[in-house]
Amino acid sequence: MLQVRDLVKHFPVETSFLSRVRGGEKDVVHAVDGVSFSIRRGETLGLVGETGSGKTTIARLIMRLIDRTSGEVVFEGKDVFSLDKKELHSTRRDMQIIFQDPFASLNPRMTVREIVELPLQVHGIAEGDEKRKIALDLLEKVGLSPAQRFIDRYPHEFSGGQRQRIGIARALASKPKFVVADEPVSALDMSIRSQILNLMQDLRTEFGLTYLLIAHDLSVVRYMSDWIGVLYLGKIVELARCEDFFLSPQHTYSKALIAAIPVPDPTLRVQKTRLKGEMPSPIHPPKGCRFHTRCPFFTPECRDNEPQLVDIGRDHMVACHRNS
Amino acid sequence: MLRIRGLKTYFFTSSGVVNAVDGVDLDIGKGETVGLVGESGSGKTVTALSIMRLIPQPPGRIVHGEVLLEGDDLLKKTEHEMRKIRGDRVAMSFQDPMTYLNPVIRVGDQIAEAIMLHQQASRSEAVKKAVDAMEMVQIPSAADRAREYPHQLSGGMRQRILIAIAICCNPDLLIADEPTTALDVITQDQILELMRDLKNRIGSSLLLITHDLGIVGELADHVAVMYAGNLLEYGDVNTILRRPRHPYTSGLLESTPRIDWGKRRLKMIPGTIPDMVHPPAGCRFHPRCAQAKASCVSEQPKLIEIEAGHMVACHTTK
Repeated sequence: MLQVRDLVKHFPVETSFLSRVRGGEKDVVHAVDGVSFSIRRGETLGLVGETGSGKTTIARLIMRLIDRTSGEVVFEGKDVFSLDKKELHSTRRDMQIIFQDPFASLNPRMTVREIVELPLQVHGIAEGDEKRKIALDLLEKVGLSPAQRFIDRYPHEFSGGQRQRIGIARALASKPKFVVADEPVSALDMSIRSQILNLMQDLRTEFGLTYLLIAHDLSVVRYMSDWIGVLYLGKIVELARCEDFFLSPQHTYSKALIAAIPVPDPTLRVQKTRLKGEMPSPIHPPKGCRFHTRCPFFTPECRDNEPQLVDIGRDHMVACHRNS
Repeated sequence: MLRIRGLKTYFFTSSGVVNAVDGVDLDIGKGETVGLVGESGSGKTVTALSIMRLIPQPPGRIVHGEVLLEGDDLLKKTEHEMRKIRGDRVAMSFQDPMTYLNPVIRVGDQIAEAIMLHQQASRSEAVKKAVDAMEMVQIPSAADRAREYPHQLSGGMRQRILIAIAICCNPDLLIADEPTTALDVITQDQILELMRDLKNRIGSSLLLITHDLGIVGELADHVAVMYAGNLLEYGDVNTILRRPRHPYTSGLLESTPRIDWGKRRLKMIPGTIPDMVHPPAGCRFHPRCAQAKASCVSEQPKLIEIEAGHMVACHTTK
């Protein structure tokens, strides 16, 4: 359904007038630096990573909300960056996005009806009574029931969880095949998260959706995904089937991510090996393996050569010299 | 060490009175870590601010209760007396370091300020002690970092500075309000390890405020669960996380995705967090509770000890 090939996005850094006069090289943020993966129809890929790992940039690139530096995003056989305006418009009907912040992603001046009906109108899917019926139906499907009572209200009258439901209804209005969910529950209260996660799973079955889930919380990704990709400083360091990944994580960074997650069970408090330091700046990422500055096992080779993402069997891909 | 009795903190707003904290009893023993768990609007942060006497007034007011620190009621102190206690005997670190650090003062000086206020220290002594405090919270090359401004530090480092300010006078009680919420998991893990280590070294009691049951599992000795201004359950960490008795506590535990659980379908707590201007009558959790019965609607359950050290406020556990 979706193939991402060698995707690169560099953001230029504002430089001072003086350094421009001196003619130094322009600095760039290496937000996404050569990322490849594919998602099969009906499956969910979860991308995890810390702040600055590039996960949201990937989501925005796939939706072509920003332009690429290089690489391809092939959706149903077509590179989305090569589409003309008309083709892009019709492709967007098939790919939609659910945003992280349910407060910022809904227009406060539009009623729920206007929000949910807009995609129907933009894509010429339905008009008049039919449009109205579809909108009501969608709201019921995402659990805003009775929809009649909610449909003429404004976003500020809803709680965070309800707004996220409205955002999901809007994303599903054009009957997309593929949905990007960018941190769909991280802004929500604990007792609301499972409502939204279970809703997303039910909708996936009902509408036959394919998801790209972006999250920093590995437990959410494990619950939702068939495949997991781990990002570090704009690169994928490990990509595997979910169960395989948790059974035998290979990359030192993946292991550290798993170990760092607190578990609500004091009997599982264990002495763990902790990563030292912080993620380096994406403006001047480390040479060789980007993780080598924090890796307890690094060798001179890690500093000199960048490890490639290689298949170590059963479609389990790792980018680490220790695995090759 | 700290004993809270019948604490009620209300906010008098234009749309009505918000009973943000409505009758909370809580004890924190010497050297003990108590995890105060709740969602937004549960009253956990207001409880902490009430202990610190930092409730903005108006619109807020502590209308009832006692906050006894070693038997001394903090609610009866004058503002002048509180200034001596705050930062010295009771200190608090906040969720969002960027809001609580002064952006135009070097971080070392901000720590030194707290030291000069509470200890008879000269400026140069205080700066030296500030660097010591920064070393204690494991900031590398602390002496250089002390001369930097908050914006030059990462989120994790800023949180360490806030913790350094809070512990620099060896407080009897440290209140940490969502110390890791704004941080990535690996940084969060580093900060939790740091807090565990510091607590052992300086022997402070810790009131840890969080919405994350995982963090409670990592750090707390006892757990108090708050919902809509009420304490619903209290007990030692093993009891609360492994054998909870309140439907809200068990609902939260079963609805949170866990890394060691895989794909087993999560339970759901239906509904949303109540509007605190018009909270539900009786048990405030009853509209979302699968086990609610008639008495839950009519009468608010009291916190009762159902076994040694395990308190539950629920009609169904009787």
